[in-house]
Amino acid sequence: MDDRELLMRYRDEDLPAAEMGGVRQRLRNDVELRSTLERLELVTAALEASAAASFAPFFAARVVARIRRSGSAARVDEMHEALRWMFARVAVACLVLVVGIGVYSAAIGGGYGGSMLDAMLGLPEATLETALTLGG
Amino acid sequence: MAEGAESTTDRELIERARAGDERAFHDLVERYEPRVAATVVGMLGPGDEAEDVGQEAFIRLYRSVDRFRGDSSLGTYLTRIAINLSLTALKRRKRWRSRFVRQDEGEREGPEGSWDPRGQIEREDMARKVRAAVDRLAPNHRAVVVLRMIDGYSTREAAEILDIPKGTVMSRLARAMERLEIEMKEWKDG
Repeated sequence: MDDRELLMRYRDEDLPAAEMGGVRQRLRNDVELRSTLERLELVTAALEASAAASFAPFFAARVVARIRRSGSAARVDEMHEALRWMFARVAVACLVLVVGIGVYSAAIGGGYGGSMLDAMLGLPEATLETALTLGG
Repeated sequence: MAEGAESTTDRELIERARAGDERAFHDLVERYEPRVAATVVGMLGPGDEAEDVGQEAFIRLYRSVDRFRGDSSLGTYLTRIAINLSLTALKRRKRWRSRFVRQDEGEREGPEGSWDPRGQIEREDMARKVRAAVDRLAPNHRAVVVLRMIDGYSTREAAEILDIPKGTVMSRLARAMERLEIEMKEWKDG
């Protein structure tokens, strides 16, 4: 511990009683130590005087306004997130339904002898006869 | 730094803020603005950046008000938030400077006039010089000076806020004070 640290602890009365007495004794006899203490006091006073007491006027109102803005932004974000969550599940359900219908169509329409895609889409085999039938 | 009789009222305001009472939170901000301002302006100097960090400190409090258990006083809790946000801002500022500012620019804000501690110089001018000197300290030394010498926290409280041993607080403080003494002597002599 150097003299400056010792003096700071002395000022804070953060030393054992015996050491406090020792510092007091030294201060009586040691001009350099007294001078260090004086400089320390001056710097301390300057620092205390430099403390800012407040921000610009209406600081609290600005904080509350910012909280309101961030609150409404958060609500919009929450709504976006909820919509995204819902549509993701709807998309998966649609996909499962399409695949299910495709598999079902392929299973029941496999006998037509057309392509697998036609079977999955439930399309009957297109022949001249069916075309004429469909055409009326 | 003792909280005193205001603690009970703080609790009431926190409870009301938890229940969504905006006015209660507004009152809390007004009550703790001086303390947060002293910390943030001490760390960053006055200006828009300090204001922004000060606002952010209270917004963090607002978002965590449900989790605030009152283990430490509200003032200490807020100071911890403010000092951490200030240290982050200083890191950001350092990165920005290293990218965009030439080495020989902005290193020193030269002191003007002479330093007379016995009151011949305007208090504002003195405060500006002291802030400029504090601004030149390393961030971890600056944090100790701000908490201990400007905010008025005890060594133990400063150690708790910064989560470092008391001895480290004292040694950093002693080195920082020595540096400030040298700067002030330069003003006096220069």
